[in-house]
Amino acid sequence: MKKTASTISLFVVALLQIVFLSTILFEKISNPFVSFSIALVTLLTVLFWRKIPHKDQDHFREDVWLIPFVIIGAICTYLLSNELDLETVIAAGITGFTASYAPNISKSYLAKQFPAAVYCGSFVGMTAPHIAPDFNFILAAALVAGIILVISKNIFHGYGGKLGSVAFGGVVLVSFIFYLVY
Amino acid sequence: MYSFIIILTGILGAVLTYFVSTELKQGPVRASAGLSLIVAICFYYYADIIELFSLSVDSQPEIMHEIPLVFIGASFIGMASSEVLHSYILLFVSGLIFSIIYLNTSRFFNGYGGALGTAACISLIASLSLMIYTKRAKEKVKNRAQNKF
Repeated sequence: MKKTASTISLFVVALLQIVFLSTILFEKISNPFVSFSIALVTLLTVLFWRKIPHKDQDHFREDVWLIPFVIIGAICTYLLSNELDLETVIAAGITGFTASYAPNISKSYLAKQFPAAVYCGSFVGMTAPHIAPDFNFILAAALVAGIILVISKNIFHGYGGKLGSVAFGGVVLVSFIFYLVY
Repeated sequence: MYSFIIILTGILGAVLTYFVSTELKQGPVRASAGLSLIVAICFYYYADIIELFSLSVDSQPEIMHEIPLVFIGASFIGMASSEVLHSYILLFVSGLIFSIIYLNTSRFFNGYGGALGTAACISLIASLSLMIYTKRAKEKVKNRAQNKF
């Protein structure tokens, strides 16, 4: 079960990374330097996937709490940037910086997980209004990002950019679903 | 000049965040969010003062808006734990790769939350991969040289 969850989340992240790099390659195909650099980065990334270590930590019942934490981060950032008209970086910064003090208040397992989950949600909340037309989109994207964050517990442990990739997964999947439905 | 500033910001974002997170023991979230908040406040609200010190940046006014975005994106690289990343050279290379990706990011993903994080994750993975394969290549050359003698 743990292995399956890790494999699914690794597949989602890997697929998104390939799509992300492919769009650059297609757009910059006329520029040899950029095409070569991005092709090299893609090759190095693909070669490294096999080497990404899988941890063997159990999923606790408390891990489900990460989902509402991600939603809290997304809502706070979205409200700060859209209702108070703050720049998205400032909104995400305030949300993440405030959340980072949770472990100082409590030493529990959940308090330790709180900052990363909220910061992950804040990246979802940074989505531009032309992608996220309403509040429902942010809620749905944060929910999906939260689920990906929970199932990816045993991979990309300690890797920079994991939270952003998870948020990106949530936003892309939900925008794809919204595109199909509406 | 524009590309140079973006690359410099990318490298600084990664290195400074890692330094504050691991050396100053502030943790990855506080380091990334705190530093990005400072940079964003400086560049959004005190842009006029910063422009006084800049040379030819005024020809590209949008750069004032982009620097905080590049910084927060690169700061995700610096959020890596010391178990995964323990070399400032790797951080430098990751920041450089991130800046190259940022400068060429597809318009298709403009405005998607987490796109900067994905670019950061790719940059870190690519630089770690580069380190592994460079090391392996060096070992092969060394072994061949030893076999010859």
